[in-house]
Amino acid sequence: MKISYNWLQDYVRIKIPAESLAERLTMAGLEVKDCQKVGDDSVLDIEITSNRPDCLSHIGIAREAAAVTGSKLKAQSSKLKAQSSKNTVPIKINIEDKNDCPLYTARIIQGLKVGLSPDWLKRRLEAIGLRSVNNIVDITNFVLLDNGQPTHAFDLDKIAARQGGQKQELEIIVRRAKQGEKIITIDGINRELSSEVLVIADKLGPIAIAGVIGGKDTEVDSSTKAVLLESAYFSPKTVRRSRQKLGLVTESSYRFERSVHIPTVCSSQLRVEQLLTKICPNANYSKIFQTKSPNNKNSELCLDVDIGYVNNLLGLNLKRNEVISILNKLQIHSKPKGTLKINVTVPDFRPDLKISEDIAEEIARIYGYDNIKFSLPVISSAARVNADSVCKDAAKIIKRILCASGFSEVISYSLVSKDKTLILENKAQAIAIANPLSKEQEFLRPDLIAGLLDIAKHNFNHGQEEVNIFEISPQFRREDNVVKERLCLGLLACGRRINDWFRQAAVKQKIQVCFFDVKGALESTFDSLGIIDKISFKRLDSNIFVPGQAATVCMDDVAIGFLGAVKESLLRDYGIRRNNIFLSMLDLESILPAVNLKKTYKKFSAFPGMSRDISFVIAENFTVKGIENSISQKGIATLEKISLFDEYKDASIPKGFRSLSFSFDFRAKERTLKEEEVTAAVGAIKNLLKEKFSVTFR
Amino acid sequence: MSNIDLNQVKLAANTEIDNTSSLKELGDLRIKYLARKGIIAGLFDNINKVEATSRPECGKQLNALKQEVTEKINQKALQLETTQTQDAGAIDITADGILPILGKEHVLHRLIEDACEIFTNLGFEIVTGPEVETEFNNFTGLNIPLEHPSRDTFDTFYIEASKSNQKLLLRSHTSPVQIRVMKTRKPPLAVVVPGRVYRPDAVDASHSFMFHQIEGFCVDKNIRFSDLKGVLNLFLKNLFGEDIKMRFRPHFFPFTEPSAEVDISCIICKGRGCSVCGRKGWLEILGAGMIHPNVFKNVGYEARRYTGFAFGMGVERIAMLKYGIDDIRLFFENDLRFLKQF
Ligand SMILES: [Zn+2]
Repeated sequence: MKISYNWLQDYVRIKIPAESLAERLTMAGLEVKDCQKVGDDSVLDIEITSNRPDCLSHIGIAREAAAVTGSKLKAQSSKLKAQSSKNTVPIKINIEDKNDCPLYTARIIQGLKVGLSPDWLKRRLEAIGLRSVNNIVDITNFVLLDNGQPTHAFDLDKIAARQGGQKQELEIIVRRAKQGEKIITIDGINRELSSEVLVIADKLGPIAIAGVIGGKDTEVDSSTKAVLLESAYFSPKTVRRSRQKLGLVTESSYRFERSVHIPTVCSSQLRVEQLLTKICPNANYSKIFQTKSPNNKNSELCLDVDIGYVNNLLGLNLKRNEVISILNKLQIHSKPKGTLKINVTVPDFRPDLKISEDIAEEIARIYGYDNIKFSLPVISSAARVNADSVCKDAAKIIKRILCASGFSEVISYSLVSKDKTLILENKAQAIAIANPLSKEQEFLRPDLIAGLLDIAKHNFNHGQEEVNIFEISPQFRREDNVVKERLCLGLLACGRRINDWFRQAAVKQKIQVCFFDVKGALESTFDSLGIIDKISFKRLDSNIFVPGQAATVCMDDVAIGFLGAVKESLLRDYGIRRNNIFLSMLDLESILPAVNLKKTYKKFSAFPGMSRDISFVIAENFTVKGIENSISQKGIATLEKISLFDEYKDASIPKGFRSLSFSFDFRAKERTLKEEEVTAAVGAIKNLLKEKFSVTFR
Repeated sequence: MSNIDLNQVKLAANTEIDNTSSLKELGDLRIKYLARKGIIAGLFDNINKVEATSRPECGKQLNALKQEVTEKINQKALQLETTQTQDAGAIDITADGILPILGKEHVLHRLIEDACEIFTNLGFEIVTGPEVETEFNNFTGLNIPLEHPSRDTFDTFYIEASKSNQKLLLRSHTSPVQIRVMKTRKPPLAVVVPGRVYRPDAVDASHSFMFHQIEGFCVDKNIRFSDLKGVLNLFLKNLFGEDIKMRFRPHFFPFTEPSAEVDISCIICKGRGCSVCGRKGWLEILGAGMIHPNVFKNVGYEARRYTGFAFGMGVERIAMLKYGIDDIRLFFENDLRFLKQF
């Protein structure tokens, strides 16, 4: 809200310059975002938090300014009194629901002459950036900015004209709009209303949207001679719904939504009269018609506040008298109660103060937050439960291994467009956003695939050849009508395996990443998580992968993820013009319970080992894993490791067969191996290969 | 085997060694003569063909030969190493080293980890919570009324309702985890909560509908506002450096009372005023306060038995300030040229 420094001086004598005042207000919780000189005045742009509707006025800010500068508020001329005159037309106020409008006041002012505002009024409004319209409108605007109460002037003759000139009795109805009812508001917009919107109506229909904006056909203009002046309290919730429905925030709605001050509702009628008297001396005023005041519940609240509790909460050591004098500065009066407490009377303009903690904040902000010293809490060891530490450690390990394997971590948006959920086989699992911002963000992602492919595409389009990335994020699916959020790992690999100019120059080609790079990265990860022994890979046929180049990852034979070479058609759908892109996803929530990070040192043999290679031609339907398992199961105690080192097929090998070469490492724990026993072991392996797999040795 | 055999080998070896001009060739000679299956080893293998009486003498000579050739090769190697500057096998050592391909952790996660570590060193534990939340945990439990202007800063994505149950939403802050933790545990609590949050903001250089927060809270008997100041002062100095200044301004949050906004002196202009800090010299960095008694009531804690503080901050904003990043979209575009810088 914009506040004029000179205007404040009407209420409080401020001896410090505007910039210093701005600084002090900021440090007391009224953040001054800007402080500008305007003519001989200064204007402070203050951000007012939603709990302080009392500060949406110059009077309110003046109270704060007095508190932070230690000045006294100027005494205001004694209570305003209505001049109230000859009764004109009686006003019948008809409130449909007291909850929407607990208090409504109206009076008729006649004998007006609409014209230019006096200079002082123009200056005030223009200083804070408002354009002067005419004396009547300017006065209602002035009152709003002065004491925070929105008032509204209807052109009385225009209301009468609506009823065919009938002036006998005026009925003002405050009611919810009927479905489909319409009104043209003063901004010229024809608005269709609904039952959520509260209106001011006459017998014929709405003449204003209560607390938000007036109607065009009862607007004050240069020919206006008489007005009906409204000052009311509209329910904050009701005004909030109205303005949300209409998509319109006005100075009035802003204040009603935050609640106005009931005593000011009534006094504003008099304030307008006071100002108007000087400008339109011939105006005459009807009595003020009003609904029965809500059994003045706005009366003052009394709170008992324990000084010890406040000191403890803040980390201060204030004496009771200091507290009383701090509160006094804010017009919050208090007196000692018992030995340790004070009894605080909360002024009616501070409905935000309800409990001791609210009073503590008032004390702290005037004492100065910056004057409170630093201390450190004593955190009891009982505070640490480490409930999901395995989860965090596991995630850290996964990140460490993958980063070391050359994969960079990415974070992509959780919201995706509908076509990015298509990979999902069961469409009912997709979770839609009820109020999306755009088509691009209509759904919660059901997997991490779309994000990874989009990032790959972005990088390809920007000249990046190697894209090796991973993401650890939740995916969202509806399962059995429940939203399931599961932490997943997604991984994408593409491009050269290693940026090795030296060896690549030797072989005259770039070594591209392949299926086994991705598989290996996953295997190292599983190894570090202590679950490698539970993991197996099974062939997967999927609509997103190249047939025969994909695998299901299983843990204890239960599927926990997949990996494979992405099918070209899917890549084209994403606008990616490259191939050999490998993708993997793992469900971390299934993995986490099995993670075993306990390490125990295992002794290794100090004796030399021996290595033997065996190459053979074998039918293609036998898998490497199957061969390795069979040999392992043979139980050769000295066989330390089996590793595949060559695989090929060419014209010399019959169709349906392939050549495999394995290297076998032998080692004994307690002694040096003898040549003969290794030869015997190799013989046994060869026999097995021959009998079980009918291989031909090469 | 005769002396002649030995002499011939010796002669051939000497000549060959003398004629060598590179270390590589010399290496080949070493293998030729001295390896396990080399010429001299071959001579040793033949020793059993010699008359038994001559064997010891023969062995002696062979050992002498082996010794001589070894020494000759070693000497030549030394000579070549010192004299030879233009070896045919020289490599251009100024050419690029082969960099191991290292992946990088995302800068936001790196920062979150660093920040959380500062708190865990102070005795806090890390807890996380789901991104899909209930209206209660996100709003009502935190003393944010559903129909009130104080909710306006928390515009929220809602999940399209399934047939039954309560309204679900994408959490608009990490504070719901306060409710989750406090509903299931009693103080003492010292918790830090990193996580992703959502607000329907149109995307531009400084707005994102998805971003990250770090939340912290500490609840026990006698936790004070001054403790909050002490913890945050320590945290911010750790994160931004010893020389930054910090200030607390009163503010309003529905879930804390008293509440504060915390500024640090501008790390760009050191408080003199620049475009980043709007010429103020201060940067707003986090929100904090003493947990509102209504929040304690909502999780079932006995009134005023405990006090506690809570704070929350936006990770992207901190990263942008710390690293001079001028566009929030960079974090989610995941351009490798960006990711690899951190
Ligand atoms: Zn600056």
